[in-house]
Amino acid sequence: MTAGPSPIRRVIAVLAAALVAVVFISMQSSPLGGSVWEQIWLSTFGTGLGTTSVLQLAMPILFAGLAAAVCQRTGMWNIGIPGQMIMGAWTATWVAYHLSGVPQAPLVLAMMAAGVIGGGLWMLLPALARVYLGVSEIIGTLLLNFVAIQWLIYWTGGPWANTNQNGGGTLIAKPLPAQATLPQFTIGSTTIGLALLIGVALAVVLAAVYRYTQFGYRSALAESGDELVRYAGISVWRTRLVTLVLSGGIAGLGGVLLVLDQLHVLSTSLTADNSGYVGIVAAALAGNALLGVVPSALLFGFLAAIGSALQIMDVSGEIVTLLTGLVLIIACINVGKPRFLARRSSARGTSPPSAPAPEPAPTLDEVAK
Amino acid sequence: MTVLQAALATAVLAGTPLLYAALGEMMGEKVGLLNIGLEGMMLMGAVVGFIVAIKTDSLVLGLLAGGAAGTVFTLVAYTFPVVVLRSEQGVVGFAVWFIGVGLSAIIGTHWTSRSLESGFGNVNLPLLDKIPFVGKILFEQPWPVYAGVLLAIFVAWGLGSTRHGMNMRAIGEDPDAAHAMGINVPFWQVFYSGVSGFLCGVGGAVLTLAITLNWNSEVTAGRGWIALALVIFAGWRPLALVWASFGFGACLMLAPFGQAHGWAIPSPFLSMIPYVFTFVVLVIRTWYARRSGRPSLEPAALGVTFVRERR
Repeated sequence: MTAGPSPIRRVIAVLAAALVAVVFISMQSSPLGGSVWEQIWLSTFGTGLGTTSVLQLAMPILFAGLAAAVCQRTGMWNIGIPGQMIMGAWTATWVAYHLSGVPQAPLVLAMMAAGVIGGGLWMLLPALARVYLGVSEIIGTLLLNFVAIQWLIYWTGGPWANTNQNGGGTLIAKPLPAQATLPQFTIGSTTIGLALLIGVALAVVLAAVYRYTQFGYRSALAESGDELVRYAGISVWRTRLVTLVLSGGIAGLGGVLLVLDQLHVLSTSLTADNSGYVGIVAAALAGNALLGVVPSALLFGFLAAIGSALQIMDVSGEIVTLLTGLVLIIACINVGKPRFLARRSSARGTSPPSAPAPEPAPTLDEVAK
Repeated sequence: MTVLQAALATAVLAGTPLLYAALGEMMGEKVGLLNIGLEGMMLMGAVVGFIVAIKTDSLVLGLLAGGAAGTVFTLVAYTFPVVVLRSEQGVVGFAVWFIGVGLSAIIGTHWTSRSLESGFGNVNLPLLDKIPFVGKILFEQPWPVYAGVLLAIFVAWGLGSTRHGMNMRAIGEDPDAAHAMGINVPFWQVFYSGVSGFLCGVGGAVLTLAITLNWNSEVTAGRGWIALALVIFAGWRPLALVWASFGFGACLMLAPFGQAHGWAIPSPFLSMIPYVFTFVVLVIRTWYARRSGRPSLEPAALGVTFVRERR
């Protein structure tokens, strides 16, 4: 999916989804009374508070989107983003508990580093299985999400449980040291977290890395997995391994920042809004362009805010999940350019790389030969 | 019935939704279609089957309605974009998952508090249930369990021993060659993705109508993904799917079983087991397949878009 959907297709996808949303929401009437549309306006860009929540919801989607885009650029999937977010946040929390006396800046930096390591290590397992054995990374990464969720439930409900707090359905861990927060900037009535700015900065840095460095060039080539790439001396398996672990690290960082920026404690609500999965769709809509993920994440943050507005009005907020799927399917279906018009060579061997590689995965054995 | 027998009997029942879904996915994969959206398809079958069963007071109608919902949903959301519009199968499958999760939750909004009074009752097979130990585990089950096993046997026979089955395998191995042989590739791809939608829908309905007896939006809890892994684990062999499904059913039942019997292991760790087990087994299976050098039955053209005009 190097090129990704054309800009026109992306706009059409978003407009079509918006149309479905308008039809669906118009059919709904809130049992609580009052206008649903007014509530949506108030919960999104209508008020400073609404704008703040759109930006907050967009933040984890941005990190997840970057993690997904990095992976897709080398022709692989990472559906394990929620799990990596959890493990990143867990590792960072562990660090924070042990460094409770440390001042704010070093503590936050240590937690962020721990998050990157935690997310990256969690990805290492499916990444090694993919690269060495050819075990589908789609299934491998996804299965580990369920494991990570149970791990989170164990720690927040067991050893780290906060016995003073009753969170209803969510389990909450012991509070973090008070200095474990990120600064927020207020412009008018809107608040922007430093976490979101870190995300934008990361997008810029990654875009530069992929644009200007040898690594970026190698991973763009490794995407095809062609014989030629290997003859050129590029180690496809190493590039893929590094990319997968990098992707896990970015997701882990997103998890930590979600804790530092918004939750302020490790809890099972970490992945409640499915931002890890939505990020994959955000990346797809952006055609895996790293800078494009930023506006795309904002759009899905807006969508998520609509979802919570609907929930406030006691209307099913699940429409958001449906819309997310619709945006993806409309953005990526093949309408405008039938494939038989594409050049023969490109039509045959290299099926679009975002599809789970039909050719057997290049493994260490093969590369060594 | 001893405690162990009862536990194993529950495991067989718990594995049945996996068996249906994995059989459906396998048949789709045999004609070259990789659909990773099983979870969404199962959820659609689960919710529609549950609602119809309560409205009509008929479990059989519920099961069929679940299958029909799965078929229609798959044909519209997966088959049309993939076979007719030739989109990427991975992306569409991912979207199918999302749409299925969202749509089923919307459909089932007002049904989460309802529950069935009784699910499918056990049907004891005469004579067979007298077999010591195994009889009570395998042959005192609701009829969808037997139907699933019979279906697997039928699919194994059909794929392995009939001309039609060979043709279908040819589509998955090399759609261009199959086309040259005069097989209507897009037609059979549409047909078998519909079948896979039906079986996933039935699998979801079995889950709500025979096991949980109620509906919530997370009722499948990753079973669709486990079924997807099962197809690989079983090496695209329908009969291997039977015992693989029941084995994974046992894994799924470990957490409730352990909790009920007061095991010293914290329940989150028991709940992890099916997913860890699936992953580990998949790794070992792939490693073993590479070592043994046995030819894989994985369709060679799995996930490849067939374009007739390209030839």
